[in-house]
Amino acid sequence: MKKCCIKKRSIMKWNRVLGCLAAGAMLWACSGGESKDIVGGASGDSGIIALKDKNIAGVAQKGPFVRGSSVVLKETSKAGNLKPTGKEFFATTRSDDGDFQIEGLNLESQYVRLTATGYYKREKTGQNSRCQISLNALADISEIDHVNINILTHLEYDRTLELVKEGNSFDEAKKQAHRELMRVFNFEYLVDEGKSESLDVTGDGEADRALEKISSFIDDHTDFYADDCFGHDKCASLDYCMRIQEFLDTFFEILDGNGPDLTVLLLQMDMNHEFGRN
Amino acid sequence: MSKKMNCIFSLLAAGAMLTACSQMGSEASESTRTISGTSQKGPFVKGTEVTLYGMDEKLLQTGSHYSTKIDNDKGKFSLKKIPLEERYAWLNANGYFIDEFFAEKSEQTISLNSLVDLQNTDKVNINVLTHLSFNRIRYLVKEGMTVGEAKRQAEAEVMNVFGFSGEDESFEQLDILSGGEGDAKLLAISLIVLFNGDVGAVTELMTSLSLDLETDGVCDDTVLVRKLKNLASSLAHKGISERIRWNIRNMGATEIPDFRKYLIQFASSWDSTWESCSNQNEVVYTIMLEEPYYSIMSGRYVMPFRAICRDGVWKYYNGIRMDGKSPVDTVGKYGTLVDERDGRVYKTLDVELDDGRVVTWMADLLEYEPKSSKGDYKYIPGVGREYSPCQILGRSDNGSCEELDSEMNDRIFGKEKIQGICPDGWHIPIDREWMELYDFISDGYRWEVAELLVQSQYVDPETDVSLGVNMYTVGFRNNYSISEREFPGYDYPREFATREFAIHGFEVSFTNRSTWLWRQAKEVPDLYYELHPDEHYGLRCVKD
Repeated sequence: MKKCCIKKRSIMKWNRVLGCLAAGAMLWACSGGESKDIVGGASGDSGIIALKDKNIAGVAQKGPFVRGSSVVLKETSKAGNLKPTGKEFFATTRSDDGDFQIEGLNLESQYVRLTATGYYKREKTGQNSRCQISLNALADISEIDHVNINILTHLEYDRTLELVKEGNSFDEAKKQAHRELMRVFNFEYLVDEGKSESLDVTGDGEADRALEKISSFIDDHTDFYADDCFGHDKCASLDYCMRIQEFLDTFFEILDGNGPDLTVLLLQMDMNHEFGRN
Repeated sequence: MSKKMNCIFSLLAAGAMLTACSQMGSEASESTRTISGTSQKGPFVKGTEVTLYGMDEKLLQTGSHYSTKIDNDKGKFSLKKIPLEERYAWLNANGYFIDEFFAEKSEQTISLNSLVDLQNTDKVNINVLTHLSFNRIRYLVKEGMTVGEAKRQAEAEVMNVFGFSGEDESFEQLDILSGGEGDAKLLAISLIVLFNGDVGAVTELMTSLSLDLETDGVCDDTVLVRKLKNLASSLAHKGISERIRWNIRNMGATEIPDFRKYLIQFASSWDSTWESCSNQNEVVYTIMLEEPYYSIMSGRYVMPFRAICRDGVWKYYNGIRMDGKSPVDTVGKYGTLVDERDGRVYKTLDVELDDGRVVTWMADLLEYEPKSSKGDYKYIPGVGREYSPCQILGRSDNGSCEELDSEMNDRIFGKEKIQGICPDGWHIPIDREWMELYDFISDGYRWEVAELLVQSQYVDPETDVSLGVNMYTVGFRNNYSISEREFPGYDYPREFATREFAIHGFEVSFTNRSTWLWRQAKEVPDLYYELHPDEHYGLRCVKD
């Protein structure tokens, strides 16, 4: 009974993100003759490991999330399909660098989902963002105890899930999503310089610098939203914040592996003003 | 085919499971319990997410979690019939709240934590104090203490930062809308952190304090403590406390605790750390605060802190009196205006300008009830009322001001005086009238006139010296900014309505800022921009 309810809660949360899409997909899967197993997921050789008394630390950064921002770590299924089991662990960020820690984790799989939610320090102005945003990350924590949450982990998150669902192993999926993402921003030569969750906007490495650039790039656009709305009612509305989150959440759709034209995307996102201005 | 059938089957099964789950609430089960309570910065509003994370006796999370959405604006939450096994839990509330100062929904969401022991109770609250003690409790338990011991110690330590004794109820039982001593302390501390600015700034302040306390239980950051005391000092002012009292009552408090005495107590302990002085009423600039504040309005860092000598001790002072001057003598200076419509009585002040003309100003803010009460944002009896442009013009309609456009153009740029909501024989001040007053005071260094007209918001909280004129800011709101909220004490000018509805700053220290604001308003070409129906201003009428 307990398990069932936990599950329901997480399903509902998930539904909120995917909305009708998920429901539609399920129905479609059923009516189509050649549907895959609904559970889907990785193959049997995935080598799922249960973890005990694991400690995890990291930094949550768009710009750094302001102190006291939330971080949620979700356990995923031992089936290796990255589905949340319903077990969740909570933390709040502890410094201006956005660092957090979660101690004593007992997990049935080494793959975890992380979500950071809060206001962040704007790269450009150093001021707090107007809107709370949520950023996700996926990580294999069997051999690491440090996972960062940043714009790259967020942008490759959904794509990785998609690739795992298509049958790729976690590692393969993660690598491919990372490569595709870096290609979009012309940083493909840095794909081997570190996984997204190991990068830090304040770090000195070349890949860290790339993350910082991409982060600022994204911030410039949300910044433009802010300038655009300043002085108008919409600035104060929840819709405005939802638009920014929507932008962050749907960005992955461009990752079809062919290095799409960013300009087209930004036009679609109603962000073309930025280009017009320059 | 069989696959398809299976699929349908499993969907049905899943549906049944979900149904089973949603029905759980109605089936009383012995192994479930309902955890409820109140979540407050100010009260959290509808839609706030409250989540409970189960914890073991070492306060490590077990992974079980239950969440609910608040369905009311009083911060009441209820996690119904949850199969909770753990004794301890981390409760988190994340959402918008009713701001105690503005009495309206916060512009940004805030997240508060509470570490609760559910062994003997199903009722636990989430508030600023539970949030502040959170990290310290976890640290102490990690160091080997039991949760009970850790909670008692951490709570006493948090109270100690504010100079309060901590023998009241456990933090998770306190409620800003209740009347106990612990509740009063909670409200006082809750207000102090709220006063720090926008939600990001409030969150940062609380986290800084909570982390500072984490390892040693003492707040070592002297700048932080001074900041807290300064905030308390501003809040302790009677007018501001009255306003908050009014708001708290409207939030549904039946018994309002005396939070002000705790504000005064905390602020006084700050004042007493200052050096002694000898000249009664002497005003000096201080360099007590190492960290200047960033002023939103002036866009610069400022040191707004001045001190006044009272009975041999320097006290915080943010009045308008110049250095070395004595308080103005108010005896016989004021006239009286009786508003025939409602019988309210206001003080008035005759100002004789350099050219010999005498202009009679209201020395209080108008409190007359507008015809339309919609958008009646702030009314604090004896303090003042905020009016929207429509209300100031005496309109009865509740709609937008759009229809006023053409009429306003004619009248604003004409020379006609507009009575609007002012009493008979009085009118809404014209831009020029504000400027004349401003020039008269600032060009002629007639600070005593300013002191008569502009009551300091921040008189000494201990002696609460009244200078005679009520000029408390009732508030100012607009829709232009999310994060940049203006708070008293943040070096911002007061805004009053003028006939032109320009945003008028009549600033206590008479820097160039008010001129700048006036000019800025003048330079905005689009009048409609200024006529936002959601802007509210205080109003002082001028005699015809």
